[in-house]
Amino acid sequence: MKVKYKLNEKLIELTEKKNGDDYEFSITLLSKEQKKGLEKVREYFDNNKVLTDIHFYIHANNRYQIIVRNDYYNEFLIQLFKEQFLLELKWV
Amino acid sequence: MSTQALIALGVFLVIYAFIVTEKIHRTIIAMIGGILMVVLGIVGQEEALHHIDFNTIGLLTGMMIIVTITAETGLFKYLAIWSAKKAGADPLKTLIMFGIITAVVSAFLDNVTTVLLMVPVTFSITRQLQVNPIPFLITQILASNIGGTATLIGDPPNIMLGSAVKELTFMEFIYNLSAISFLILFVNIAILAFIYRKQLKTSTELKANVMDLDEKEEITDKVLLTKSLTVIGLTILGFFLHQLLHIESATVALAGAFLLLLLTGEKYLDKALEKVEWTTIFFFIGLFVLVSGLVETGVISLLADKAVHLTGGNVTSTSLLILWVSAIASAFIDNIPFVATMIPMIKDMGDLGIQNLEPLWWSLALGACLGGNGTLIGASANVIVAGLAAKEGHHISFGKFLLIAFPLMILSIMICTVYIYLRYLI
Repeated sequence: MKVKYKLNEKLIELTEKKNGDDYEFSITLLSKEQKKGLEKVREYFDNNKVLTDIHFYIHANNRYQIIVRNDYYNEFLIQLFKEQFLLELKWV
Repeated sequence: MSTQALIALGVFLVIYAFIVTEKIHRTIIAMIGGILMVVLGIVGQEEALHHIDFNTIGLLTGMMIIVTITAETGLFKYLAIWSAKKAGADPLKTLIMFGIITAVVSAFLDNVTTVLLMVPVTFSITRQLQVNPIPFLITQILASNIGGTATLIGDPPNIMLGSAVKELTFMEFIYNLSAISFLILFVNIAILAFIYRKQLKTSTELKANVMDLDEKEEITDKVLLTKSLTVIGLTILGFFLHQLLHIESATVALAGAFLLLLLTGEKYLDKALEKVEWTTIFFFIGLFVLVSGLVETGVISLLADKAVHLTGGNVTSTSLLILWVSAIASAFIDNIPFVATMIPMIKDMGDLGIQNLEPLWWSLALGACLGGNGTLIGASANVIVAGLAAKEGHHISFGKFLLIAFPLMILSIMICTVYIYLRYLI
């Protein structure tokens, strides 16, 4: 089963595409205040012992590129949901 | 040989065999060996404590605390992205830049810490560039061991040497080992870049992605970064001046560590102390006591006597023998117990009539540090990187590493042979 999500469009812009076997997310924060939340998502993955679960790249103008390993896709969405960047998550 | 000496030698050999075969964790077995030396009455408890070199322990602990706090600032991620951008995000140039950064950082921090900081950012940059991370990881392993050779604080064998021989100060290490380490680094990286040049290609679009990264955003705490960099600067200055100030290098490192904790406050205390690699610290403690058994019962003197007989007391042949034996031995066994055994042996060689011990000390430092590059199990940094890579699905096999690293290690030791001979023996 796949997970479908509904974006919190007040906080971020998000696009998703395949990158090899992995998923690539491009996220733009709509205000600087949201930075803390995204940092928490990164910190969550930084603190586990897996080095290649997500790769977090920071670009200018609040733009983030995140490459998420296939097996960490759901986990990543859950963390986005936890920080209220997603409003809904459901199995489809 | 007395019964006590035979028992000490027996305990030492059994413990050493366990350390080499890695059947039991090296810290547990080294501590058991040390305790056995005391329990069997070979050394008294007080005597054993005197043999534990606080300078080695204190220096390692102090530097580990400083690095743990500094890593919190995002400085190492910043450095990696900055250097990749300076290399124009070209994979081959980035491999060279990462190799140089690893070597420079390794000269001032321990090798394991350095690779633990470099490996995550290496995975990140190579994923973005869609290139194989293994050439980068192998280069970093070799560079960390070479960089560590350059200073007193860069690699455990050097820390132990600097601590055991008062004349070998921080500046003496720089003066005698930094130039040769730089030359060896240059040769190794040039050869590795040549070997891997065809594998390291990427698209213009992926390069542009890296060039677009904002490394400044990686710095998470600017105030903490200022404090950390100030303390690191003062600590390094302290290492340069420690002889002039009549203080040991461990005092410098611990002063730096606790000054930083004073500046940052209690919130970092627990984390910093937690991240100290106590397994390494206790490994050293066990080893010092284990070797003390051999020293106190005269086994080391006997071995030194045999070595001097073998070389006829000639400083040239003794020096080159130490260089090559240390290198080959360190490629296959842990260089820390090896150096712990060799230090008292070389001191005894001085008592047995070898007047100029200096080339012997530098031969031991170069052989033990660079020898670790020979195989995948030759140094802790090698094992750590291979372990991390395997966990992430990038297997560095023993044979594959040997094929590249062993000839490079032999070449490095050949360069050292020429260096030792020209600088100290003619």
